[in-house]
Amino acid sequence: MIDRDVIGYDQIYALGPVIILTLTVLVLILADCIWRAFSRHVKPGDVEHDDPAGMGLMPNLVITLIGATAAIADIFYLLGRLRAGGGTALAELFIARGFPDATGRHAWEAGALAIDSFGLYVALLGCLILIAVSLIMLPYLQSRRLFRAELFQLLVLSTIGMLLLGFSRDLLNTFIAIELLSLPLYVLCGLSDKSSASRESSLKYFLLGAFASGFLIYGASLVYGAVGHLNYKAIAFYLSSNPDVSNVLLAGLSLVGVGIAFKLALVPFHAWVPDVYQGAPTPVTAFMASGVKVAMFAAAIRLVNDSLVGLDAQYWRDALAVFAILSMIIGNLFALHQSSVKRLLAYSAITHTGYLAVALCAGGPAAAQSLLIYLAAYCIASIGAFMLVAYLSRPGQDDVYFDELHDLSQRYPAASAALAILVLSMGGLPMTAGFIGKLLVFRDAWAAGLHGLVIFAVLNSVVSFYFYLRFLRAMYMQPRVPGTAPLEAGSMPAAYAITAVVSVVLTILFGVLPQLLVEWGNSGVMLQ
Amino acid sequence: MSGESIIWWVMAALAVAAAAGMVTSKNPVHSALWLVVNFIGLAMIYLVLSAPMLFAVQLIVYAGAIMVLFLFVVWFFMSPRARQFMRPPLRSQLLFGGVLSVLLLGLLAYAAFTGGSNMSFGELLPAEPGQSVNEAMNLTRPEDTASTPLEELPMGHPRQVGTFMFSYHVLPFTLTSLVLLAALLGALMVARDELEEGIGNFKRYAAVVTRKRVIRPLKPAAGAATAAGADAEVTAKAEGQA
Repeated sequence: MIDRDVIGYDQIYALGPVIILTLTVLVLILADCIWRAFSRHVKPGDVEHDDPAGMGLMPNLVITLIGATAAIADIFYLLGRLRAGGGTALAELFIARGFPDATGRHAWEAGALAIDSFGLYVALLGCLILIAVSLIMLPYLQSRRLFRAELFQLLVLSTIGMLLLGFSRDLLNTFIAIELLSLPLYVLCGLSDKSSASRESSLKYFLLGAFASGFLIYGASLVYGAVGHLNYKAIAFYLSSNPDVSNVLLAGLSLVGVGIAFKLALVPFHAWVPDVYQGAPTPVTAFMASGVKVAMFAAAIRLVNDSLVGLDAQYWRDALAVFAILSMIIGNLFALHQSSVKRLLAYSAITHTGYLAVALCAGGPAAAQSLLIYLAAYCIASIGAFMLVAYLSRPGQDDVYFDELHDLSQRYPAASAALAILVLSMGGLPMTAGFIGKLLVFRDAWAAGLHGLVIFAVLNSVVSFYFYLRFLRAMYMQPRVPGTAPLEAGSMPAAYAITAVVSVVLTILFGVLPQLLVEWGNSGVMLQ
Repeated sequence: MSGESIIWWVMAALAVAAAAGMVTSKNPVHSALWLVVNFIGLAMIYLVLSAPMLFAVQLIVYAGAIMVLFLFVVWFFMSPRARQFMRPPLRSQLLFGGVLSVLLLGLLAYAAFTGGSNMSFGELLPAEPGQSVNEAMNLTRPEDTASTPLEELPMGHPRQVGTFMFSYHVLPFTLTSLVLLAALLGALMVARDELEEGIGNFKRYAAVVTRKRVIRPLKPAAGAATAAGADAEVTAKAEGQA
């Protein structure tokens, strides 16, 4: 029943990035203990007093950056090995097999984890996001006087969940990876526990997230009851070998879909997004808007491509299309008149989920590739934009309102220009990376025959320019509202400046030379 | 109706009733106790479904350890004066939620009663025509010893569960420890503020609780003023001594 080679102990090296990040967490915990034991601050409560610059966070940041860089190096090594090998996947770990038929051939055979180029590119994005977010975390914490050493450990743990979601091809692994991704985020949302908005965001995310996890695991149990296995390939094999689909399986898959759609923030499972994004500390919001989206869409496209291919499209594509349309409409409508920048970006994240769900509807390896490119462009823009919000916002407020942005271009020309470019990339202006992502996603959906959906998505992305252009109008055209105090952000800390420059340069570079991004994505095709 | 199915129906009804009681009772301790009943009902169902390992785990881990933890947390944070914790839900919430739950329940029931015809058990059951389910699951074997091969053990046998858990499912099993680590670090982060406010705060609480047996009510109820006064007095004394 169980062969030793099934587990793939000799291929465990392919999990290198995950192992490296796990070791990073352990080193971080150890470093924290040592720092606490040997620092001159006898009582932890004195840290704030004796260490006004928050330099005690420096070791944690450095360890996190080293760990993430090592993981990236390992990912490149694995990618090189994959190219040299020429196969579709570098390794399949924890292999399960279907019944052998009369000739001894197994009906299906698949690993619970597939270390293929798609998963490796998702992992690469995850590690880059970790680096960017931990970089902008340091000045944010210093300006807010929140000296929490544990948060780097939690960030890395969450990234491990992201990596595993990119590799996972088994509902049980997917579930646990989602938990590993979300659990640290529930805590990180409540990081600034002096602000009630942050606490509210944490509690809301936790309660609703736990509820959604319940749906996911209940659905998985129904799927197991119908199929007898949780592997995506087993589900696909069951679907293709049973013409009339069992209702238990359909119910299970739709409950799994609810659980995933909640984390994706597809309408109607989006209600938590504005409050959570607005209340959470801004770097954490950046992590949620980029990292969670990448990981969950990777999980969703794996589920679609690996298991739903066998299911008649009418069972899932129509429902997903309705969710996509609703996400675009609701996201756009509510974003139009927001006065808070973070809230507006939250609603725009819902709209982007809608566009990305169009690619999910299309399905197939090409859609997986376009999805990755879109997500890369969106992550660059959203991390940059949230970073600028973190930079501009007043220490006690953790948010920027549009009437505070007035006249910003004259006092902070560089920051306003960067913000303008990044939000235009989110909107999908030509010559920015966002345009390339949108173009590819819509092209794939068009090729899959979803013409109505694509036309609707294009119309919506035109509408969305209205609220992205509000940034430009506020920053460049409107005089300061009399009686409001101007934003006093001071000079930009180095970590912010690096992130801003990198995100703007990448946005324009990929917009002007799209072949860089497209080739990058081309090698990330999920080969089946 | 066989004895097994009678037990199944009784236990299923018990579990559902206990779950309803858990959701509707206003006192969190009552909720927790209802949950114990629900767990026991589920455990019996597992036993009837010939999953002895799951039965034992459910009883020991859930009904035992986890419920003790739940009750401990509830008692730890609940003031004896606060008789009810849960605010009754809004009428519109109740209506909307009720309609949705009934819809979901109906769909699931429909799926359960119509979708069971072509169930397979994948790898676990060898597909041999003419075998009864009990035979396929090796439930009819008279006895098994330590040397019985894994394939011939009844399905759900502890050795089988263990083998699966530590071979094919070893990764989720290991990842769970990372999830627990995340939970631990998170709890530390949430709780540290109270820790960092100093031991003094804790001492003050301890002084209040042990000397005067005063526990602060959640809301200032009748007589709260005198209690708060006593509280402040003891606090002041404790600080003076320190």
